[in-house]
Amino acid sequence: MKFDFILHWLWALVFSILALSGIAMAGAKYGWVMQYDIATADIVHRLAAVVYVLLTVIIIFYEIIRILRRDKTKKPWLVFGPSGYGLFTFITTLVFIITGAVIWLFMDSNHAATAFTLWIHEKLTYLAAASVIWHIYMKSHALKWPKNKERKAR
Amino acid sequence: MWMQKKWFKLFVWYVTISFFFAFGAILISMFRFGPTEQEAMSFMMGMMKAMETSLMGLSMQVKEDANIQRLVYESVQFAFPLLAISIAGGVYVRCRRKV
Repeated sequence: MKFDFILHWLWALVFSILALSGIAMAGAKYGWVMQYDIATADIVHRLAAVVYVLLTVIIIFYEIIRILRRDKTKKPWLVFGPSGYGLFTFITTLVFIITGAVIWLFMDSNHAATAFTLWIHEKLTYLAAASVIWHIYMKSHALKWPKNKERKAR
Repeated sequence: MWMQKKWFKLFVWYVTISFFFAFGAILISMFRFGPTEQEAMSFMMGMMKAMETSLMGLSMQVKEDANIQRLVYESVQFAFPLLAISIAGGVYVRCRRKV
């Protein structure tokens, strides 16, 4: 199995967990997503965030190694790219990580910074969720179930 | 091809459905009436519980510890030069590439 393929799907899975646990904490209107269990949502969100940052660092290092080796082979499964959806994902990921770190570190020391970054973090979640739906729509051929060759042969 | 294997297709469907659920949950929550008083109370109770039993509460306790605060402060002192060196390295590598 290709490394970039594994990274893509691991990243998608972690992002899905982050989106669902994050939405549950977005406000009283959203709490039903995890039945108002904010404590669990918080733990899940922070643990998934650590994995998310690690995966992002691995992907960036992988890309740097490719540049240093002058590897120009196309990697269609890589999460980040120089243009299009890959670039959008890269920018939103960096903003997610920076704002997330500010929220985590300054939650009770700098309320103004936390409130501002929390607002960006939340609004960006809605944008990213919409963009993922668009991405799935564009790649919907991946959802086609494999045909049964035996049945076809009959 | 892995994408053609049935167990992997199931995984892809699972991830896709989770995103549709997330997007649906956002739309439903955003455009519905409320929150009701009961929902607001449940949310506040959840937040209070999180302060005690989750990493949110733990991080608050950590911040009260002077030793850990000093450690964090010193780590940050290391982090910024490392970040600057990394960015400079990245720019150097990018500029050296001819294509």
